[in-house]
Amino acid sequence: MYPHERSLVEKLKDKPFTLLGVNSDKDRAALKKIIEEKKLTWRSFWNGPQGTGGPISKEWNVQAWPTVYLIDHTGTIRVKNPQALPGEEKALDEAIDKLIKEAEAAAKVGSK
Amino acid sequence: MRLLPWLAAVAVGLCFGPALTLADDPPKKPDPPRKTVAEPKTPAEKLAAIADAEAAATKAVLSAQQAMRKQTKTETDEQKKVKQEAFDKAVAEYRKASAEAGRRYIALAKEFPADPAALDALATALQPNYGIVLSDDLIAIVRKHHLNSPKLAGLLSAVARNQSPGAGNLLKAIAAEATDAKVKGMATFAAVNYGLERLTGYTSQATKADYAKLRPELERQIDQIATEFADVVFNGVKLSAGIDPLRERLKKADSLLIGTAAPEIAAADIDGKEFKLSDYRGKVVMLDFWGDW
Repeated sequence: MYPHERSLVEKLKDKPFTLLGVNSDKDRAALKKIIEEKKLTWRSFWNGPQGTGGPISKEWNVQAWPTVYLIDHTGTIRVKNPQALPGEEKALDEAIDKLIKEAEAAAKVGSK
Repeated sequence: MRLLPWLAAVAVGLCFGPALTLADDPPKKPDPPRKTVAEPKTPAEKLAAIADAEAAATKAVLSAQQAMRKQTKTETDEQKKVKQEAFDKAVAEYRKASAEAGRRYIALAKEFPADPAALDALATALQPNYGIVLSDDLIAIVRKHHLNSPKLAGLLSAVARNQSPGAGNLLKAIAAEATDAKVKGMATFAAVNYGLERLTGYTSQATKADYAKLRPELERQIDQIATEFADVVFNGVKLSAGIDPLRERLKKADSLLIGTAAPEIAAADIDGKEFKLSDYRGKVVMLDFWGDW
């Protein structure tokens, strides 16, 4: 998924969109190296030294990795694991595009 | 390296984080006879032949993956690429083999509906990774020939995780029509798991309204397990031990639904710097729970 995520971040850099990670690797030092090597430019919360048993994934009831939530500009959960729906990466892209349009429309109304 | 969830469900042994299974209800493959004969004739032999063909593809994908993970420091990008391509190819082959196996299991069940092998074939093919929709003719096979089979547990586990609407219908039908109390209890337990999966499953898009609609029936079914089926043993565990976890899961299923507010996250990033999810209000956030393992 990294290449697709990199391309999303690049493609949507001028849009109201952010990719945020919640990382569940236990070893933070090793993780820093991976992020550098694989050119992962987006920010991640760290789930803590318990790895997949950490507090954030627990609160979000994450049972399988990766798990993705799309959250709209109002902070509302809108789509769960779009990358696993029929169409896979295309389904993910389309869901993001739809929410970006909503965010842009809301920003327009707000600035009038 | 991250695998698609459908493969994680198969490659449990290699553990890419928890696989997509119910914690209290692990998927069970049937136990076909281990000896494959050159020309399978009986339904049981045919079942074993399908399983063996699929197992070969699974083995290939796992060994390609292992090769890829055994990276040495001196490995060149070119060598890495070759391994990656071999892995991608094995995954594609596996997907093909798995889809083919699913079709063959279903065909076998339809050809020999009354044979115990039909039940084993369905128990395998209805696991969610095959993506097979539980159609009326398959439901009819189980109701007509296997309603009180002592070997129904495997099928019930698979069907509980199969998210086609027919799965819910089949579980309801078994719970209502079976005369064996053990089968009734297992089917009711599986029906609760099916309902919870619809609310909280990996690709569930359930809303508050869905939760409000499903909750009363799930509560009633859990109560029924507690009063009528507490002593039934399912996959080696007494159902009485599952009641509290089911109630807990039902309670928790009320959060993280589509259309509800995202819970706040306030935590440190990889460099130890604190930040919050709500810092990004006004933007679309793709929140990705990931790990490099």
